[in-house]
Amino acid sequence: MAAFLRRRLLAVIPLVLLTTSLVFSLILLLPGDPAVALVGLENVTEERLATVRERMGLNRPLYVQYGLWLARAAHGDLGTSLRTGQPVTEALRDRLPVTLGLAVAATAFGLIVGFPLAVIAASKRGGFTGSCASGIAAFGVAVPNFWLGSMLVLALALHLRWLPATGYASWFDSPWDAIRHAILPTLTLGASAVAEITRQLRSALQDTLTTDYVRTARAKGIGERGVIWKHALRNALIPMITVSGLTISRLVGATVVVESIFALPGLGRLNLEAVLTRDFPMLQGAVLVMVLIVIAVNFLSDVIYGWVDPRIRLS
Amino acid sequence: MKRFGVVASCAVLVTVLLGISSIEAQPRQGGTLRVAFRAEVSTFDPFKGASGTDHMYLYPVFDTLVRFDDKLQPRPGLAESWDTPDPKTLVLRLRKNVKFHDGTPFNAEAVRFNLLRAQDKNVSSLASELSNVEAVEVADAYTVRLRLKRPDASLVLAFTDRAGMMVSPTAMQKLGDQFGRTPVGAGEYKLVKWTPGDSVRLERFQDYWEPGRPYLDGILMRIMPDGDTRVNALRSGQVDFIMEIPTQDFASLKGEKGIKTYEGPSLAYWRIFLNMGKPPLDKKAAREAINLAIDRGALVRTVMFGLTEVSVTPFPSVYWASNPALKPWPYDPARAKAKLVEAGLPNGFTFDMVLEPAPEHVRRAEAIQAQLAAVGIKVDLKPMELAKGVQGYFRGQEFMAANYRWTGRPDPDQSVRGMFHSTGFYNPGKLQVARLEELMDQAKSVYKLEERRALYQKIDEIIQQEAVDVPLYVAPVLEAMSTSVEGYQPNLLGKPAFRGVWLRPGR
Repeated sequence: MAAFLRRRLLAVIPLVLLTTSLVFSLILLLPGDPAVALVGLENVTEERLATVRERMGLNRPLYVQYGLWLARAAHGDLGTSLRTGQPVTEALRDRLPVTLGLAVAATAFGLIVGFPLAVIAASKRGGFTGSCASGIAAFGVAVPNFWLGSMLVLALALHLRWLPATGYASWFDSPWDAIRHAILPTLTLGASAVAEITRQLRSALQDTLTTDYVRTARAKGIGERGVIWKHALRNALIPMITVSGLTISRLVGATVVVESIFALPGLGRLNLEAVLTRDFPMLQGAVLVMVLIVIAVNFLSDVIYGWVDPRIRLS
Repeated sequence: MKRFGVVASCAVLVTVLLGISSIEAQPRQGGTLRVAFRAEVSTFDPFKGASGTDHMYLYPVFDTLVRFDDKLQPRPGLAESWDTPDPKTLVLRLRKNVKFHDGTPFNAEAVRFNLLRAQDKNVSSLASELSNVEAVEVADAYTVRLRLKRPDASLVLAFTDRAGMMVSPTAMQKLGDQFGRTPVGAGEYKLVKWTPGDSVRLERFQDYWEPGRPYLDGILMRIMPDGDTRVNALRSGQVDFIMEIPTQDFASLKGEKGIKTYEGPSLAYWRIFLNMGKPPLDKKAAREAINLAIDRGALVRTVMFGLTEVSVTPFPSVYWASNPALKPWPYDPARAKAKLVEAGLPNGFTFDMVLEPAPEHVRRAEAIQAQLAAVGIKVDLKPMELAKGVQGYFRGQEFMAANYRWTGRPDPDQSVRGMFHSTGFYNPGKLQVARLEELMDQAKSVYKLEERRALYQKIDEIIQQEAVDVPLYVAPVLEAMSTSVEGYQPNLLGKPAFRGVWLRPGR
């Protein structure tokens, strides 16, 4: 197991270097000059642009800029926002909990709802209940989350007035308020997680149900419930580790849209604002954190996978 | 035309109603006003920012030397009065007993500190606005004398904007670069907390100089980039005031219980920027043909849901520098074709036009494209990201035209000089109309508003005669608020200042 962990951990390093350097060069392909954006178009003179570029280090060659950024990042310094002067690490620290909380809540919601739905869809295959379960899953995949979010706000916030339409409340200030504010974004983001988990688990379960050992179990006279819950589900669950990991990673990306709809101060919106205002240090920092989340989640799911299924870690 | 008259009178009526309700009811102290804005403040340092969306955050924190009324005419602010003993001297007499939030007294030395800083090219984005100021002299503790290189009537209204926002000199010297995040002004409210990406919280400044003001305990400004999100927040009672309402949502908010709306003109207008240095746009007849081939009424009806007025001059009809005698360009395809023949282009011509790739912008540009195609003028639409398009058109001279919004300026000189003077940044073709430039200089050197008005009305006329502008329609101010909000005064800049706002109990 230790060798497996070491191997996995070492693979992370080139991945981080590759993604950050890629992001760094992609940012420079963005149209629009950050120095011009900062000075204000009307006030542009070559001297002012030169001073601003000098101050921001934009006049140096790309690889030098990247090297400097990397060296500072390794010491935990991601620079300051070009726009507001806020340290990037401070902004990330404030916003990370919002996004992470949302993604985890949505995945949990996906598992809690998707799990029974998948079991129903697989065991009652062809029947009305099974088709309904599959239908819900198909709906979750097909419906765009900006539409779903608007509909939920319309129904639950504006019409019934049960929940707040927008905003974020910190868990530490008021847990009750935090929950009320989190419900609509969680449902919006979680719908696709429900769908994803239902579909994957259903097909895994269906495959397992046709295997020899399940046929043997049935032949021994074990009831259908026992066959599914005790025998089939255990094996069908292994791929779910990967699916959950992928779902969290994908949801972190989808927060860009959901955070805008619900005006949540999270990483997704930070990314968007940084792109729109050409705030390079902020964008680089935000992307770095998102990449690290995805890598960490993948790493964790690999480790859990290896732990659960010995075939993986020994290969 | 009738329709626009109706829209305009509705707008005036709403303004009057909002005004009346605040006169009739007795203002009440207390409460926190919650507002939602699209964009976040870029910095609280008034001289550093360059974004037009900062003002809503800056107005409550920084009192200005000069204030403006609903027609954007100058009114006393931190300067109680001003006069010009000769055209190259501007004397400001300051209000006494004014303090900054940190207790620093406001006086002539503070004004001098601020204006010198505003002129410093290394920190300030306002240096060009104050380029005619040669020296700032402290005549006595409460009198400042500005020595000018040449007469400059635009200064007074410039002092209603960023250049007039006074920061505490002690705080600025102490905080340096940090000032932009922890500002100290002399305004009605002081900053309590700025949570980037989420909100800005302001609280009442107890030692504000105006007795009984402000009425509110504080203002909570929340950042909501999405238009529908802002509408939802108002509808669900999470905020009391929203602006920049999507045009398609505005009609449904009108008349909704518990909500009142305001629609009116702003100084901003939609136009086609033409690079008049590139043929055939250097020919007056070609530009006339474009103007005559556009059906502005149809654009207002379809793209703007009838929520605004057609532009005649670079200013909305209620503004003091606008010429009421001028008529909008008629929609006359036959005459447009005749003008093309006159320009030596009987088969029309082709030009490319940049625009923002958002749905509303594309709809407008496609409508214009179809209208111009009907007379034989082919438009190549170039939708592209704003920063890229703006830099490419104004700096790079890469395109013949741009379909953008002129955002408006506090003084008309800033607008007409920027767009129609041969040295103007927003006139990339550098076309020169000598008569226009003479009038601009003349209008800048007289200080009486009545005299200036007459000169700008003449300027409006020549702009139309020479067809150097392709005005489309006025960008409307669309705002909505809870019926508990009282005393709100909209302004022509479309940048809400919450001076005089109070809240009815029991919202």
